[in-house]
Amino acid sequence: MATYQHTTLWQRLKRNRFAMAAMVFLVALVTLALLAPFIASHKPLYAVYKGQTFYPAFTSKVKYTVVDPATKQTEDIDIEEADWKQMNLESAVWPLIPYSPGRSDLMNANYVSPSGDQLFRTGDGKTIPMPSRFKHRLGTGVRGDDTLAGLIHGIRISLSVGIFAMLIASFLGILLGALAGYFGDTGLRTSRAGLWGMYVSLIPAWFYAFYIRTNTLVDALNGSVWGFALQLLISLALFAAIVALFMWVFRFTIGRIGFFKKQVTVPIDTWVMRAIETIISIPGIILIIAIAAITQKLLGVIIVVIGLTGWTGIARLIRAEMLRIRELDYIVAAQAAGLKRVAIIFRHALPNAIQPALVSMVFGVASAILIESGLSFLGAFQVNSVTWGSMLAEGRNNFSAWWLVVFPGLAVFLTVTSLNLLGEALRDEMDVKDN
Amino acid sequence: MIRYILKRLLQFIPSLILITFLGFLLNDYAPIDPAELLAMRTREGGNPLTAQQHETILREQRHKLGLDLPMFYFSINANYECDTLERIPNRTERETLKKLNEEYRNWPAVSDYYKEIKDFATYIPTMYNSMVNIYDKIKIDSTYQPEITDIRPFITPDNIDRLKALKEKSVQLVSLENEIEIENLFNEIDSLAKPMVSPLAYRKMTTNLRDAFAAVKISSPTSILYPTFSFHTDNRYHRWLFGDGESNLGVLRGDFGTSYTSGQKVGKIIASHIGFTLLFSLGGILLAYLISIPLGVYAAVKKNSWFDRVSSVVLFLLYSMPSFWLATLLLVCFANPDTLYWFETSGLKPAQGYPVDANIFQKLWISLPYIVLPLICFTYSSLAFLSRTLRVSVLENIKQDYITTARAKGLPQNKVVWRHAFRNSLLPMITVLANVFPYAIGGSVILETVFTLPGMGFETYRAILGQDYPVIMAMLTLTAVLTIIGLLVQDILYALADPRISYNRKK
Repeated sequence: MATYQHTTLWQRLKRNRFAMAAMVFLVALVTLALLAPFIASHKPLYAVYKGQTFYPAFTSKVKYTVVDPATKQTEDIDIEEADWKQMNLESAVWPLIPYSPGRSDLMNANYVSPSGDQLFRTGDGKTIPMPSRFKHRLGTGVRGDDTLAGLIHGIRISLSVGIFAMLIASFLGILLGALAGYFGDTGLRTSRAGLWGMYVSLIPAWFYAFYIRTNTLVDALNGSVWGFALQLLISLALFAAIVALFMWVFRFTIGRIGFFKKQVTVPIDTWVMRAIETIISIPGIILIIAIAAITQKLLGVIIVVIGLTGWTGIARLIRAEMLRIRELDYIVAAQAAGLKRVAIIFRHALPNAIQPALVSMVFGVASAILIESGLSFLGAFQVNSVTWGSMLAEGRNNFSAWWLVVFPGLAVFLTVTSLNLLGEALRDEMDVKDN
Repeated sequence: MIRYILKRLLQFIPSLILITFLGFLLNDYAPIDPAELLAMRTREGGNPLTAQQHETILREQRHKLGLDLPMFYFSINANYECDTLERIPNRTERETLKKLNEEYRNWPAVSDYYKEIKDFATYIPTMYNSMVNIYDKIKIDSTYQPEITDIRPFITPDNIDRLKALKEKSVQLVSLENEIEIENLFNEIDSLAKPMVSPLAYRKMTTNLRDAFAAVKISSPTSILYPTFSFHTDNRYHRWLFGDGESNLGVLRGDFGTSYTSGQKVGKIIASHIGFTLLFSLGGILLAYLISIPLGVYAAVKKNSWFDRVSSVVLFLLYSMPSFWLATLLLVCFANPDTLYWFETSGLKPAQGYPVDANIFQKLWISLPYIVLPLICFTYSSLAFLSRTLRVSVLENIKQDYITTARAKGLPQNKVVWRHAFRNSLLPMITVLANVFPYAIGGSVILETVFTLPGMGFETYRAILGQDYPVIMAMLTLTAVLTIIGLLVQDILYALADPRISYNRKK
């Protein structure tokens, strides 16, 4: 008898000290990313100015009008643009790092090192040595922008590229891998009419779902991520509906003729494997840089492209697992009991196949982060915000600013290392084999 | 085996078509029209051109590049679209018309409207020029009478200013697709034209424009949308494959066309740069294999020794190291006048070149400070990956029964490890070898850019930034072909390394 495993994956992982350290680091990163606007910001968390109380870091309001109690003069304060540090605030609570990424601090421009002489201008216009509360702990860049603030906000870009790209890749990889593995080339049968109907439907489906909706999709892409996701879902649903409609129509019209009535197999495994081969023959980096150049460096596009090219590894793993699982007794029993195929694949087979893909997903996040930081290092893609790669590139152009070389690189390195550690630990615990 | 290889090669053809098609798509959506880019580059330093001259040049360029042809053997369009759009040389105009047509779905009316705005945009500048001309003559000789005499009272400085403003407005029309913006511009034009008492037909001009646009708007749009197919025997893809019958022989005969930026043949560019990339990629991979095989096998044999532990940690850290960071760190530490200045930051040889009589070894010696750092960066990541893979796979094999048997029959340790365990651990190493070729180009982009090496990766990066599509297409195709060769070589090596693997049909 096989020994029954009493420990869960989580319990086993907890015993691995390195994996736990990596996990703690990653959780800390996510927390920092979520709280970044309140941890590193040029706006105070709480400020009292001319008798009026503000919460600038928390507010979404753009302008405030302040009335001076003594002179009765009104003054407009632009929450974003105001230089809070030089206003005579009666009292203020500053974020941990009182700087925003990419905002210039002209007093400390031109690469001031962490230990160098930093200057500060007070509300009365006097220049004094930097008070320790406002020190640039990790130095500044060419415009005096704070390195540490850039690092904290850089987490957001890196993690969101890594996570969202991997979500897309996982969805595609799991779906296609599961179908390819479960059905193989012979498992899925349909009438010849249905198959032909599907082939014929592809062009009209693409036409109605994507071609004539191009402008809608592009406009959505220039807007928010969620708006684009919604439009994309509508397109995909439309696509599926048209394919289904064609198959149904074909089956009920020419499907009654003998030749078309015949059952044929759908070579779904071959299709998926051909698709994987095609995608791995595309040089990913060249494609992404070229697309970044075309799309004016949109972050969303980069995420989608990394996701669309990154699913092959997961699909292969899931396919291999499904090939094994579909022969197991409980699946055969489920088939014999007459369960629907969708239920067998997604409710019974897939949960047992998904663990190995987990490892691949963790590594995938790491490699997506590497691609993102590599590209922004090259300057091939820049979002409005500061990224780890773009800071490192600034360091590459000025060797004396060692802090711009060491810290952003270290951030990438530590993130990738902890993801790799976690992935390795998962792999060891689950005994997954590559290839 | 040969049958299998042929079959695989045939299977790769659709993939190749897809990838090259993707390249064409990228080309089509380039932010700046290649024809405009070329026209801009060829004209540099010359006199400013009139709109018409510019258009003629664009048309010639587009014809030369084949851009006025359809992209592929067939195209699918919406029924309201027209296929003559490609013939409009100016990209902004093309896009405006496309959008207008998508909105109102009435091509005849849109194309009439286009004719009107083009007329307007040529008429106003001509008029402006002749007015200025006459005005200048009047300034010199106040008695000067133009040929059309009743134009005389019209020529005042005010009117010339208005005409100048009108001239600017007239060219804006071709880039507007929003109804409100268009109507606003019409109104602005009218209000500019109104105070000009003139014998010339301004009013009529705007009326024409308004009528044409009204026709676009009211005409009943095609209500049912359906795809239409058209087939094209002469198209860009065909020319790319088989050549244009003139200077270009086509990809199938090894001609990737002419670079947009340098005007050189793409084949020449590749030939002069690929050597450096191969030197570093293959050199790096070779070094990685040479170091990793003893390292991985030794670590596995001495499992849990201090050597194994230290090398595991170091290799793991190297494995996670971003190459661009390591490269930058090495540069900052060892090629920096402030710290250690052992190596050079960029390029492959000194700026003044090699001495005339230097032989290959002397040249290599001179270039050494330039080569070492890039070579380290090209080596370390595959080194880490290979050693780790090899260690795991040797460890797995050492546990097997046949190793115990080999030991039991008294084979020396050396033979057990190298002839039995190592040989059976080769499969994962072969997988890596298959990735060498594509990595040679794709992976070298970042490193070659950091070290400014004149290799293919840097060249590709420059081509992308400069929108040099013939070069990009060549790189995409080459990488795809190399990947395919890599996959095939991998299959063949698998069969050689493990006789159990066979590609013959079993039935």
